[in-house]
Amino acid sequence: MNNVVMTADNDKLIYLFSLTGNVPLFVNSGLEGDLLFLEIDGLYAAVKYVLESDYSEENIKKNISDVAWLDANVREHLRLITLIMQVETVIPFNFGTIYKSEDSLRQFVSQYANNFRETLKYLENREEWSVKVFCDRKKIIENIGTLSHNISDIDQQIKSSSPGKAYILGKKKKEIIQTEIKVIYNTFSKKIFTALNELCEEYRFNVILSSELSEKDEDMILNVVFFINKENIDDFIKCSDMMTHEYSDIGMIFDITGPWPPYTFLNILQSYAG
Amino acid sequence: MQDDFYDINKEITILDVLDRVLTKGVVITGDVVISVADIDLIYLGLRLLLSSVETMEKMKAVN
Repeated sequence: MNNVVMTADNDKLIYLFSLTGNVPLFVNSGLEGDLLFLEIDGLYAAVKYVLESDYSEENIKKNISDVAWLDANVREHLRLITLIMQVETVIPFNFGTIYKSEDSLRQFVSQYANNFRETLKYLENREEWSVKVFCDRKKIIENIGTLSHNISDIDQQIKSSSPGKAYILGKKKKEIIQTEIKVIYNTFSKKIFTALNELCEEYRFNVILSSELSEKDEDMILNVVFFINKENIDDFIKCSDMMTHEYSDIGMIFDITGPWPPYTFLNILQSYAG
Repeated sequence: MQDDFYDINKEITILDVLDRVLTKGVVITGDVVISVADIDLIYLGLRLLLSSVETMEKMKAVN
């Protein structure tokens, strides 16, 4: 992000980060850099003046294909919104939300001011947390005798069978093992989701990613985002810690992150977007 | 502090960040917007980059 001061130059655009109901009083002031807060109909728009060379329609398309530029600016976007979120309820905006003039921004915020106020009420005292659970397939196979009744039944039968029958049963075991792994994954993901969901107000499932996309060797078995009342955060963390410990022996890995700006739970705005 | 939980405890991947700040959130946006086609290109570029980094790491490990 460029460090520019607020001027009336024509080559400046307005970057909108978030809306809040109050001006944030930062605990560690200085971290917000050149962020400005514009009052519009009782709401406060967190903005920065940015250069056309970075964010004009034409240049933004060019810049987003530069991974280093994208990485630095996307992280800065998240950092600033997270900073505001620590002291105020925020409506976060997407990366690269740009207005060509202050008038245009004011018009936009004024037009939807009542909806934004309702949204801020809805978001108040709640946090967005992401839960991804992965499973080490090798460990599941190692423990399959204790995790699957069908497999343990076959194991019992093999023990008391003639070599010929044991061979056929062994083949059957190999055939059903993939199905049994799926059953185990479903059972655990449901169990984990149900335990955490009891402490949450809303949830959204995200797509289960392949190892290539998740960048993990283990299989993803749960990908969900929760909206949690702040009062329940400690219990939510305790519950996830407990399950992390309880299921580590069978190769479950918990990836819990938060609080995120409440992007996932803003889709209520779709109702008046059209 | 819970507020710093994800900063302190782990490194957030660029894909995790992009999944939120590009594809979710307020539908009505600014005068300049990043289109769905551009978002697809961002992801494609990143995945190509990630896979080439992975290949490089594997090659390093082999050598």
